[in-house]
Amino acid sequence: MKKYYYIISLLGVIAFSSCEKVLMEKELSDDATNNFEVLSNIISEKYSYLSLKNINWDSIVSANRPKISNGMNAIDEFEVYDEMLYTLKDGHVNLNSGFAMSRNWDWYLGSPSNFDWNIIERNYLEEDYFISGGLKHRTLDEDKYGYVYYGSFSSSISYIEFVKALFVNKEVDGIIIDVRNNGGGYLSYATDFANAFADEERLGYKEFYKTGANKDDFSSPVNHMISPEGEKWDKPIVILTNRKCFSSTSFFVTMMKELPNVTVLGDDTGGGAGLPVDYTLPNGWYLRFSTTRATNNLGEDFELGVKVDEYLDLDATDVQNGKDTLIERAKEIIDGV
Amino acid sequence: MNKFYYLIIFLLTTFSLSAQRVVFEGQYLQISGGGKYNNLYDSSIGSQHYKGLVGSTRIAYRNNSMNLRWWTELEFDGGYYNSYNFPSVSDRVANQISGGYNFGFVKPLHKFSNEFYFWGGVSLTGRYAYNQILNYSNSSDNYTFLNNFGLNGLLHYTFRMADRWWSLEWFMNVPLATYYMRPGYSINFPEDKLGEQGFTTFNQFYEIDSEIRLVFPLRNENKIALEYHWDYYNLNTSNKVQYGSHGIFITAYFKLNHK
Repeated sequence: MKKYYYIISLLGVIAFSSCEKVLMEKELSDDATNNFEVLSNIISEKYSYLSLKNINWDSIVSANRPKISNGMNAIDEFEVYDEMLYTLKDGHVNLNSGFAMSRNWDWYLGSPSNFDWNIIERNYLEEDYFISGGLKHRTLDEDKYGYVYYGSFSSSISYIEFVKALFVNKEVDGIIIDVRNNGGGYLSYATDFANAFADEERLGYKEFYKTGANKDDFSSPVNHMISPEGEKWDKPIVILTNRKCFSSTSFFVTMMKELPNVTVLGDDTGGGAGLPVDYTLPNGWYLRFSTTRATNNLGEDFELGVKVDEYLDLDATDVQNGKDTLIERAKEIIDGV
Repeated sequence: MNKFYYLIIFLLTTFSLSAQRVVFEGQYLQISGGGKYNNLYDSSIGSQHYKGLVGSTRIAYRNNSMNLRWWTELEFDGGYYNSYNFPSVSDRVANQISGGYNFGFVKPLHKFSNEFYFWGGVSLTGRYAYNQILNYSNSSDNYTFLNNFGLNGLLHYTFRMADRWWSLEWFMNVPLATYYMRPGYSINFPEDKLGEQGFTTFNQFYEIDSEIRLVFPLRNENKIALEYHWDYYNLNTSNKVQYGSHGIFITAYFKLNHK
């Protein structure tokens, strides 16, 4: 009988001492060399624009590896990664260490801002405009034009049908949709916004998902459609853009450009067509990077920006006179000038 | 592989061994409460291990007889993860919610003595873990869903102490075939759907679920048990996930069919 006590005791000891540590991936220490290798590998395997931007990531990694040593100052270590990630030229790529966030914002800092909120608020929207969720709107020039400013795709667009109905009721000649300085937000809002003005079901954009570690491992295209919702709108639409239009805003402009009654005016958007995901380095710093690609209906990638139909900058004299050059030109386009 | 499954089913359905005095017979409502310490490595969210505490509860119906024990059990867990040291509320980095089921049976397969038996059987088990990474945006929703068919083993030793029959059990479940659902390689919900999914077995997935129970007799044939659970799985698809869990439970068995 004793032997059964021994067996049970032995099994009990085995079971209680069962420890997943011997089975699990080794837990990496937060040394700089570990951080460097993890960051280098994850970008190499999952970042989606190495090919499109013709980036030789391996050579960037090789050039920076000698700069990394365990025990180095955290700020120096951060700066190495900052330089490496800067070469990706992607507003969706950030490393957040808490004390700093790496970024490359050249996509808009190197271009005219083409936007002055004070002029819009004081001389166009004025005091009595509607604020319907995230939509700021009113009619201009005695109800001749509808004007909507939408500053973030994180703000609600649930009142877009109300806005349309208001403009239909006022019998405006066309709508100016101003998305300048809209840095993006929820992609679903961009699709919903485009659906509100779609005349028929159309291909909005194509998306490609990274499916493997090689830089050209992508899924077959996934078609994202837009389809009419709510009251039909067939009057002219002018969309105002600048380089600070990014991410979901670029998707929105891409989808809207498919419609026959839309003109995009201003400057190319800032792009940002890859959906970003997050990843944590061994030292707890958060890395964000794009893992998908997107193209328009013609297969043109818009990671670096959506082309406008008509380029136009704010005119300095107009600004001095309190005029927004783009809004004034948009009125002309609606008038058929 | 199919022959292997047929062999298992054949063995389980043809054994006629009956366990004597080694099982608390009858129908029981089982209610468990306890806590787990979980350790997670998920290559889709980072290079670190996530460690944390969850509160856990189980509810089950068990039907025990001398030659068959079967049960249906549901489990619900909730807690949080920390990525460095032992978790505290102030530095939580992820919430974790999980649940599952276990529907299975065991039959006595080998008798060591009148008090000591080995039981074997099969189970359908499901494990559904949802983790919300608090500092993430698009990829904050992370999940591992598993549906398993596997083998059960139970070592059951009964002994007399303080004028009552006590029971010491070591239950183990090892899945043979699994249907899994995990985030996609590059993004959690490609095409706004669940990411990777498919059938797998030992080449990509293995799991060991071990439960040790010391069952104390109470009045009216009710029981109470102190349990230790250890669970580990490894799913090696495009984003590897490894999960280890240590749990302590207090379980009450309420006899339903008093004679």
